[in-house]
Amino acid sequence: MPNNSTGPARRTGNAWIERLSRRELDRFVERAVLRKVADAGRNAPLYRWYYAKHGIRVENLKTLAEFREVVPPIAKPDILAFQNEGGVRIDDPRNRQFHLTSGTSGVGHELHPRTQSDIAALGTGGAYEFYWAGLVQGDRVLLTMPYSQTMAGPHFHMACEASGLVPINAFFTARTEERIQQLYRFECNGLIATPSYVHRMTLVARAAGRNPAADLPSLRAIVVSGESYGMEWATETAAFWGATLYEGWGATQTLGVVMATCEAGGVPVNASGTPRRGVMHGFDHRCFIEVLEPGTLRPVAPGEVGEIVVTTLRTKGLPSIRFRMGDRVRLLPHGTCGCGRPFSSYEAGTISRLDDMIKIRGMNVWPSAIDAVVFAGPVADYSGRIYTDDRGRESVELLVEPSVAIADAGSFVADLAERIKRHVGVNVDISLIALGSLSEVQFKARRWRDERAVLAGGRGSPAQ
Amino acid sequence: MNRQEFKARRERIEAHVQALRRHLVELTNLLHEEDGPLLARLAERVDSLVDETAWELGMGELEWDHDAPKFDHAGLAVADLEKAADFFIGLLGGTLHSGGTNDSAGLRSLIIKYPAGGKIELLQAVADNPVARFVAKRGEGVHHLTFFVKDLRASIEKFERAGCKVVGADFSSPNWWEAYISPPSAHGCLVQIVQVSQAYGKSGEGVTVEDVLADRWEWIDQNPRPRSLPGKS
Repeated sequence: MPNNSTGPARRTGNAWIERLSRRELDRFVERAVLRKVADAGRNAPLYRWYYAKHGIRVENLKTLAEFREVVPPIAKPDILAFQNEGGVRIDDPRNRQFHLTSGTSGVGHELHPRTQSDIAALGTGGAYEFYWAGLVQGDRVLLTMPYSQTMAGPHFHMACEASGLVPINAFFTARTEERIQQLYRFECNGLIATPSYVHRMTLVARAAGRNPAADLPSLRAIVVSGESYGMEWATETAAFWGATLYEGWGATQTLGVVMATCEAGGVPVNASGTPRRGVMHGFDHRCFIEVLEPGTLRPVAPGEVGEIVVTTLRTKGLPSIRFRMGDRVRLLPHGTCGCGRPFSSYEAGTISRLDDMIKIRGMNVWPSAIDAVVFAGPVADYSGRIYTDDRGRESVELLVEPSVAIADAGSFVADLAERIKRHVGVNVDISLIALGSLSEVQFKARRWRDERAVLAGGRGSPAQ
Repeated sequence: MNRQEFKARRERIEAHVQALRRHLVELTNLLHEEDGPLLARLAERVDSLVDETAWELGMGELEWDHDAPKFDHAGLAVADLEKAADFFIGLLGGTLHSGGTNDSAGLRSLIIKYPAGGKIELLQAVADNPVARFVAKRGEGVHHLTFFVKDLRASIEKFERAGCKVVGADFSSPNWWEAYISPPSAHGCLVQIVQVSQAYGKSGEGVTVEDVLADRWEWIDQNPRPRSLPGKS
């Protein structure tokens, strides 16, 4: 099938789904959602408990509209409350794996039991992501995600298994230089990492005098997930590595990747040479994705930002039925990408946590917006702090690690502060610190501390 | 490929997936615990991949429920175990799979398998118990049907939610957890639902009909064990 006139040729992972009409896909999704919620209402202890608590019955819903109207969204605290009351059967004979959420929310780890069906389904979303990124059977990819009790490690392994890619496991070494050596040794075709860690690898490779665009020609795709990123950073990173940047989104609750960029990538370039935000496609036949306004829980209009709410269609151990992810995304009009696939569309590169939002002097500020400005320049990493100064005013301080020697520190700091003010709207005090002062990030970064509460109430920081 | 050709091809592919599913059901039914756990696990893994394939073909959820109960055997209450063995082994062509005397339940049993599939359990009461009362009241006949389930607790919950009377739940054996759905809830039939461990179901090597009838094998934790000879404990 032809692609849009300026983009790369279409790469099809599964024609049976990707060539459905939007109407056919909608019908499939409606049937699957209604069946899933009815099954969960009858057989899943979590949902029997939750729906009884809300006094609703879900077995005989007839339409997706009815599903949206009747079924209450569920959130992490509900699952934790149920699990803390002994709601998960550790000795259920259908259990084949357990996955814990990473705990970055600070309120606890959800436990997701996986059945054999879940294991079979674990890598399929990742396979779409890899195929669309141009990776094909036999290609080698460097996996840098941690392999632990969380789902990331098993997911990416199973995604390789599902797509026929050969995983090169970088888990065995903590040193970034050694991982880069493996990238070269196995002549990897893909690199799988968070944006923070890709950035770290870029700095280390550059410091070692490597020029992967020229001396690692095998590398075609960098597939990122877990964090947002700026367009300038993405463009420069792609140029340095001589590869295209792609993105996927998923979570423990979704059984892995359920949105990904297609062959157009995370930051496609217009015919005029201008980069723009790419489009992530929802794998609607595997996960029904809603974008809701967090206050009212009403669907947002295309173009607007809201919270991701998921209903998984391929999970058996612990399905997610209208689960509030706590992630914010911009819903795009259907067909925005132009690739012709029937899937729903979301803005690439900008998904971030709703609870990451910081209120600074009455303004809503997302750290990802500051990341985009800071990492557009020669910066290795930074840490941010909000505090109450001696005069009781809210102040913001950034400690910035330049990645190169800065000849005129004063101008550098003034320029960066001015760009942050212009793009994000807040005044910040910036201090430069030596390269390597901040601890190395190998997975998702948490760069911000809110110390206002310490002065106000003498308590610990609520933001951590 | 025109729409008609595509439709025909789609139907052929879907038929093959459905056939794979049917073959897997048959394979799973043919496999027994004595074959070892590895083959059953492989069948389970293949089955889950067939399911995933069906989904990615847009077929949706295949109707076979992985956790659906598997029929294991019919239990027949008999008055004379020897005569019943003559019929079900000698005449019908079954082979003895296992057997022994369960002293605590007051039952002597022969488990008989048929080469082309299927299994029955012949039960003779050797003390006063429900099987003895069954024979006294109704005469010989089908006493119960046994279904294996993957999760007995979940199954009990399911049947109770549906309004069935579940009795005799017993989780004390390491190899065999059981419960019964009362006949009034199951169209007049006593239905036994059972969750077995990997250790259950080994055939009774060396067990003969004569030995069982002579009470030389006991039945403990759903497995046969030779009785100790007098003076040789």
